[in-house]
This record gives sequence, C-alpha cells and structure tokens, in this order.
Amino acid sequence: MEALEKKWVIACVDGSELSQAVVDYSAWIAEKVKSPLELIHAIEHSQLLDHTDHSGNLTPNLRENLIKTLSEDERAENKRLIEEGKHILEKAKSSISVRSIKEVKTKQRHGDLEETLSDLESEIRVLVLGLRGEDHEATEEGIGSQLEDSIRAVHRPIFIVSEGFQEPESIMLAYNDTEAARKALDMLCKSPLYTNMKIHLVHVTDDQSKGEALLKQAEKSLQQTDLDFQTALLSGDPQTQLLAYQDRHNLDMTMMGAFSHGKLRSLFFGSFTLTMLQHNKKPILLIR
Amino acid sequence: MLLLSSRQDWLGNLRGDILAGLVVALALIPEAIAFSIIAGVDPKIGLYASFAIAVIISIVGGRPGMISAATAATALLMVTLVKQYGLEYLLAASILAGVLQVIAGYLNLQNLISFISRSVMVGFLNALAILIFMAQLPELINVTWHVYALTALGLAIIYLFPYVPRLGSLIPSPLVTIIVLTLIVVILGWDQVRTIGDMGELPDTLPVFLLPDIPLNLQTLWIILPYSAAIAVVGLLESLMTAQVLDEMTDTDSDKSRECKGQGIANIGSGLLGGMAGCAMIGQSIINVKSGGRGRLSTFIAGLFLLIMVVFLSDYLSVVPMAALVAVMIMVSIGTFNWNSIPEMRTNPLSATVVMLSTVSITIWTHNLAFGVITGVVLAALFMATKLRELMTVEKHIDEATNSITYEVIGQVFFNSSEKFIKYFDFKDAVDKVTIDVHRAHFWDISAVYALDKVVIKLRREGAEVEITGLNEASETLLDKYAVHNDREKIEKVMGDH
Repeated sequence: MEALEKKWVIACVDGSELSQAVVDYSAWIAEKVKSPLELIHAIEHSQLLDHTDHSGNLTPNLRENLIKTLSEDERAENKRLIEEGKHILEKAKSSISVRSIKEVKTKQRHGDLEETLSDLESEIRVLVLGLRGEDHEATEEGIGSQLEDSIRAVHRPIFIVSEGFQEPESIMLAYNDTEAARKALDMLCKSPLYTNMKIHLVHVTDDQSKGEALLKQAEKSLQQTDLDFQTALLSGDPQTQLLAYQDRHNLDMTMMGAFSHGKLRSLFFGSFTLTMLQHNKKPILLIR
Repeated sequence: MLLLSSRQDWLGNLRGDILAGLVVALALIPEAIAFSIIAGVDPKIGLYASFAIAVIISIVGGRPGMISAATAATALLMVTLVKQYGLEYLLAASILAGVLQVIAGYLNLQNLISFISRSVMVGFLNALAILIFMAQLPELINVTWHVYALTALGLAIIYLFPYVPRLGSLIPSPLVTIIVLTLIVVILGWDQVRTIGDMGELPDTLPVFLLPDIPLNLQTLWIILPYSAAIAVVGLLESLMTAQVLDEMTDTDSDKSRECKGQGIANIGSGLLGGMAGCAMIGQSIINVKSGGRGRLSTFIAGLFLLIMVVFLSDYLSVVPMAALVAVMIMVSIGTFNWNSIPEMRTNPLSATVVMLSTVSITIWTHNLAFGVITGVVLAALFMATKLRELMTVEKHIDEATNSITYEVIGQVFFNSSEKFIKYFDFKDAVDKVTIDVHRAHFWDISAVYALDKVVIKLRREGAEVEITGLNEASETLLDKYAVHNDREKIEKVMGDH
C-alpha cells in the first residue's frame, strides 16, 4: 500500500466541458486513496500547415526551407497552446483546493495523449480521463478519438468520466472469468477507495451453475473484508443486462476489466469495452 | 504489429491527405516511368511497382506520410541484372531484397544507421542527384534542337508556374509541364521527338499476381543475391534517411524497425505484382509534406490514384515527349542535391569533405550507392580513430635519488594509438625501477593490453623492476559491456579522469 501511495493519480485535462468533472473525480480519488495528484495537459501538434502548397515541384534546398517555415508556423501556435494550458491547469488546481490531497502538481507535455501517457505509465496509480476531449465536444454520443489508443497504451486502472461530478456511493463490478476481472476484485477488496460504498458484484452468463460457482469464489474474497456487498447472477446479453441492472439499482459507477482482446479482433467484432463506454452515463473504472 | 495503426494515422487529416496524395500521384507518374527507363525495363514495371509499394507501405510502414515507390537509387542497381538475365530475374531479385529487408527489420538492423554520419548522408544524396541527372543525358545527346527547346521550356514552366497567383499553388507545375509539352508536340506534329510510347509498354490492365518465371535453384540464387543485397541495403538506407527527415519536419516519431519490415513486405508485394523493388523517396515525401500530407492515407491515395490514372490514361501517356520527363527529372535532381554542401566544404573540417566527396565519387564510379556509403562509413570511422589517437600522452618523471622512473599514461590506448604508446617509453634508460601509472588511461582493446605487455617485457629485459599501478581502472573499458555505459555513474567511472 505504501508503494502505491507514492504513485500518482493522473488527470488529463484540456479545455473541454468534461475537464472539470475529470478534475473533481481525480481529486476525490486522490483524497480517498492518499496518493498525490497530477494534472496533465498534453500539447498536441496541429498537424496542418496554414498555407499548403500543391505546386508539387522540388526547388533547391526545399527541405531546409520547409523546416524553417514549419517551425516558425508551429512556434507561435505552440506558445499560444502552452499559455492556454497553463490557464486551464491553474483554474483546475484552485477549484480543488478545498480537498485535503497530500500533493497537487501540474504538468504540460508535448505530444498526443497516447504518447504522453505511455511515457508516464510507470508513475500512474489511477488515470482519470474524460470520455471525449475538446476536439469532439460537438458529438453528443461519441467517444473521443484518442480514448481507445490511450486506454490501450496504459496498463493501469483508468477512470473514465462522462458526466459531471457526483460522489459515488455505490459501485457495480462487472465480473467474469478473466484475469482483469480478478484483478479488479482484488483491488476492490484492498483499496481504501471503496470503503463505505455499496458494492454490487454482477455476473452475466447463460450457464447458471458455472456462474454460481464463479460468484461463490468471488464472495469468499469479499467476505474477508468488512465491505457492504451483494451479488447478482443475470442471463442474457451482457451489455444490456449490465446497463439495466445499473439503472435499476441506481449505481453510481462501474468497474470492469478492459480490452481482453486485441485491436484486430475488435475491428471486426466490435469491442465490449467501447460499447459499454458509449452507453454509460456514469463513470467507469477500467482495469487492465 | 505490422497492421496496427490508429484512426488518427489514417483519418486524422482527411482533406490534407487526399489532396497531397493526388499531388504526389501526379508527380510519381513521370518519376516511375523515368526510373523504369533507368533500370532498362518497360515503363509499366515501374508504374506497377510504385502502385504496389505505395499502397502496401501505407498499411505496413512505420512512418505515416512517407512516400515509397520505384526509385532511382534502387533502379540504378538493377541495370546489369536486367541486361544480362532479363525481367523475370529482376522480379525475383525484388522479392529476395524484400525478404532480406524483413529479416533486417526483425534483427533491428535499423540501429546501424547511427554509423552513417552526416557527411555520408550528404554524399549519398549528392551522388543520387548526379546519377539521376546523368541518366537523362542519353535523351539529350544526338537529338534535334526541338528536344532542347522543349526541355528548356519544361524547366521554365516547372520553376516559374508556381509564381502564377492562385493557380500556381493549386496545380502541380510538373503536371502543367507535361501537358503543355505534349500539346506542343502533338499540335506542331513534331514526329522526330521521342515519346514515352517509344520506350516500351505502358500498363493497360490492372497488375496481376504472378510468381516470377525462373528456375528455383541455387544457381539462380547466386545470380540474384548480390543484386538483392545491394537493393535491400540501399533501399533501407534511403528509407531510414527519409524517415529521419520526415520525423524532423513533422516533429513526430516513427517506428524504424516496422519501417524496415514494411519496406520488405512492400518489395515482396511489388515483385509478385510484376513490379521492381523500390524504397522511400526523399523528394516525393517532402512534396507530400509541403502539400499538407501527414497521415497514412496520403501515401495510400498516391498509390491508388497513380494506378487508376495510368490504366485509364495509358493512350495519352504514350504521346508525352521524353523531353517533358527529362525536365521533371532535372528538377528532381536539382531538388535532391544538397546545394549547401558546396559552400560548406570551405567551413567544414577537411575530413568531413573527404568523406562526402569519396561517397559521391565511389558511387558515381561504380553506379552503386551501397559501395559509396560503405566507403564513406569506413573513411569516417578511420578519421574518428585517427582523431582519438591524438587523445593520448605519456609523461615521464625521473627520480634521480632512487634511480627510478615513473611513466604516467593519460588518455585512450587502443589499436590505433598502441604503437604511439610504445614509442613514449625510453628503453635505453638504465634504472632500477620503472613505475607505469595507468590509472588515468583507458585500455580499450587487446591491442592496448598487448602493447603494455610488450613495454613491460622490454623494460624487464633491460634489467629494471617494473610496477604497474591503476590497472583496474584502466581496463574497465576492456569489458565489452557497452549497455551499462548508459548509466551516468558507470560512464563517470570509465571516463572519470578527463
């Protein structure tokens, strides 16, 4: 636990509406698990030149001249982005000053979110992300374009925020027979984040007996703690069943294993994780 | 994974990538035809190759936005193979080159590019530019004045058309050149001017999948292997260099190992579709960036659009005068040459200039960029070893009271400085005791150890008692554990006294 308390809760913010919720949730987590909090703003390169030239000819020293033009264009833009980011980070930091977190740091890094996160991976305890960033605010339903890559890049618990902050009092653990789910259960039992929370351990399967055995196994670990929990065995389509259960019991957040399959498989069959993210209004904690 | 790429890589820059892809496709057509002619094959071989390589590399390559296709650098290596054995052997050689590149990728040989100094790179590009220019000379010798007039007009359009307001930055000027020159030749009825149609077959169908028709035996392998190896080396060199240039320009990173494997797969695919081997193109990649292309889609569009255009326009392509192609290639040559390298010759150290010029001259002499680069790399290493030899001295302290001498060795002792090391010792001194203090020296290899042994033996023979101090520190560098030297503590331990 002590080693964990040295690791950081990392919140990724940008100028989007969800950012404030991301900051609030990360502050709540950091306070409860006694880890320091770091607010990160990734400065992305704008990939486009303002004036593209389709003349298609190679003039002498084109490479040198082009690098010069590109770096001049980007310098001004990056300076502006750094300033903007500083402002966002300052605002975020002051908004959570009432919480008793042992340390709050802010950081700006160049590069897209995925790069930034994989560079920092070893320091991360929990990563907090918004479902979509500032580039995708217009799309009501969708998931931000960088989210999947970021989730796949980081092998740490990832907390995904999709609505404004509301302190969670209950949690649903979507449990199944995978390594990630067992890891999630283990965390649930050990982490201070879930004390005082009402826990629902839910398993969806069409094989009744197997499901019961799996739940029995899981209950054993929970009984050793003084957590307040109940279990449920459902049958049918996992996604609809889980969402309906959550709705029925009005649960404040979901915890589940994520991306057990490769990217190629998801390309053809769709990813369970992504659909859950898309249809859930409450925050989701993904365990990798 | 070779197939994985993010949505951002493909669709992150939709409009820019599509437009840039079209510009590049138009620029690729004359180049692909010209490089086929350099290699001595029908234009369709280069066009199929450019299509296959661009499309495949857009999926499996490691550097989004880089353009790969049939290139001059690889085409130059194929000339004798095509002359002596014909097209089928070229296709087989392309496939084998691809296999070698995939192996290189898995062995992480891309890291070897760090041995290529800047002078060698500049030499590589300058040699390439000169060879591209020289390849145009047959089209400019023993021809009528019409060809000179057309080429001059072509060059004028290429360089001046971009200054035309609005249209200039909208329509690629090489395309304007080709259209204008073709119209002139057709309208004025200049039949004596050579056209692309005279150079060989143009594609009129989509490429088909075919195994090269060659005997599969060792004899074939020995014929194609030297060509394949050269193509593989030169292809990877140009590709990795281009990737570095693009990394620098777009300020993003690329996966060099994946690029090596990708180049290999693209060449295998090209060979199986009846195309020749190619690699990344420095000029076209820069044009792509200049035109706003950044993602994988730009390369894909370039390849696909190229194929669509040549298949449907092959009748029109055949009447394009060679003079238009020559003008475009002269532009490519001028754009590839590093013009700064000429004034830099006065300011750079002589060794850098020698390395650059040797790379250029060996390449032009052998028509093989691989030989030029190898020469450059070896020369650069030799110059480096020569410079390091100067970083060694031995100081002699005589203590008359005890009739003893202390030699203090400071600096780098290795194969190149070991003779110099021995020369510092005076074996004629008749003394009782000699101390050799090496704690501020580094013994890099066994030549250095052997030299020290030799000195000790000689001194003992003269009747002196010899003591060596600080040997442990000095021989730290002997251990070939270079990996630990990334550690600051270790580096300071090894290099501490300097």
